[in-house]
Amino acid sequence: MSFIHIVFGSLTLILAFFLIVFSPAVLRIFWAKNLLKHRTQPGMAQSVVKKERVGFWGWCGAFCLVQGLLWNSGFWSLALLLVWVLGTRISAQLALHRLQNAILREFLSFLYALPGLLEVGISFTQALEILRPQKEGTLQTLLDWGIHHFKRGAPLNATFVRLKAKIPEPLVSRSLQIFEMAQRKGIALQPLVRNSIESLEAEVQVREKLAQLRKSLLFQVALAFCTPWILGAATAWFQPELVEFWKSQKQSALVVWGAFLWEGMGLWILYHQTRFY
Amino acid sequence: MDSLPSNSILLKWRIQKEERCLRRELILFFDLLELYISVGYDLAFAWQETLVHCKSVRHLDFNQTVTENWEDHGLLHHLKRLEQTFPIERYRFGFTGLVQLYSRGGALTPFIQSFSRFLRQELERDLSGYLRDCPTRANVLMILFFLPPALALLLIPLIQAFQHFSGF
Repeated sequence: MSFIHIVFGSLTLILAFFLIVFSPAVLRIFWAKNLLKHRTQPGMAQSVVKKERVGFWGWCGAFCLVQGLLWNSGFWSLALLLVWVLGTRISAQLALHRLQNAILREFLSFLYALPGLLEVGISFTQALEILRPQKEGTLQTLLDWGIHHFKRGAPLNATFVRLKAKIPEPLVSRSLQIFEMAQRKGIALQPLVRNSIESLEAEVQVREKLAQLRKSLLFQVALAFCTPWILGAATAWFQPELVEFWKSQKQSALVVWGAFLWEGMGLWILYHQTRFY
Repeated sequence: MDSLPSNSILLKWRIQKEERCLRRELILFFDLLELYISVGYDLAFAWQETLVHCKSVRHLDFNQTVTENWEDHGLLHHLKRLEQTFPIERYRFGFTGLVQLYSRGGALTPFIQSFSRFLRQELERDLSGYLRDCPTRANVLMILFFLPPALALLLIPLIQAFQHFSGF
């Protein structure tokens, strides 16, 4: 192995160590497990962690990395590491968005039933216990935790502040805190709940429309991204001598990396351009 | 934000996103403010209480303008400052209305409701425009960033091989 390969390999190992320890994947799994520390239904803990799917990406990436280190030069290990890091981050982001959307929808269905109970004189905390989502979901988990602490004597304000830190969807956590504040100050809850329903419905519709748009673009972008490499592979299949000749040229690596970086920049700009907020 | 230089496309997109985030927070802020006013709280008290739940307003000047020098000048002074300096010019009329109604003792709830409605309608218009233009923009970006690499990977080896074997 040449000196350059040894240097690349060593750098890859050092990077891998830091990224494995501080990777968002690891942090996300710790967050999910911490969130469910006081669970009474351990089965739910497993399903939430699985929903993140980050552990799966992490293990696959680690396997690829080890294979790369054992069988390839440091240069390709670095490329595999890059793919692993990006895949882990993207997977964590997607899992978080799915979780946020699920919590928002559960909360919205919970809100629709709330004004009816408030009108007949049931207090907010009682309504919270009566209406907590019946089917298994993350919001049910979190509200159970909140109600459990409130029943043990924790003040409602402190409970909701701690709940706010645990709920990954900021709109839901803020709405709950606003309801608690309104109850404490004696402000009528029904208009507040109606306003919240209107705002959250608008937010859900915006998210759904944006998700539809992104889905329709995703296939096109994936195909466009892979097209140069598919054409390159086809050329290598049908004209191997041309590819062998070109590999011996000085500029070949520069052209390949330049194409890869140019496409990467395009992906980054497309990602930011397709975000409404 | 309307007055920032916007020669760069990337900067324009960034400004648009900041405006959208600020508008989202404004909608929540004015909804809560209306609730406090409708139950009888004074605007000054309601403003301060509402800010507790809207700390994450993106443009810092909004919070700083309202909370700094609070005891020295009062809400009216802050509203007048927002009327002149709020980053989105087309929303400044909201603060003008609040200044006029608050100083004359007029009813604030209908005005705040209509301002919230205006913000929501703008959100809907912005979203429709975005959904209409986004596919075209994405197609242009895809042509710009994915076609040249495909052409480069196909043509450069061919050109170099042609040059080498034809003796150029």
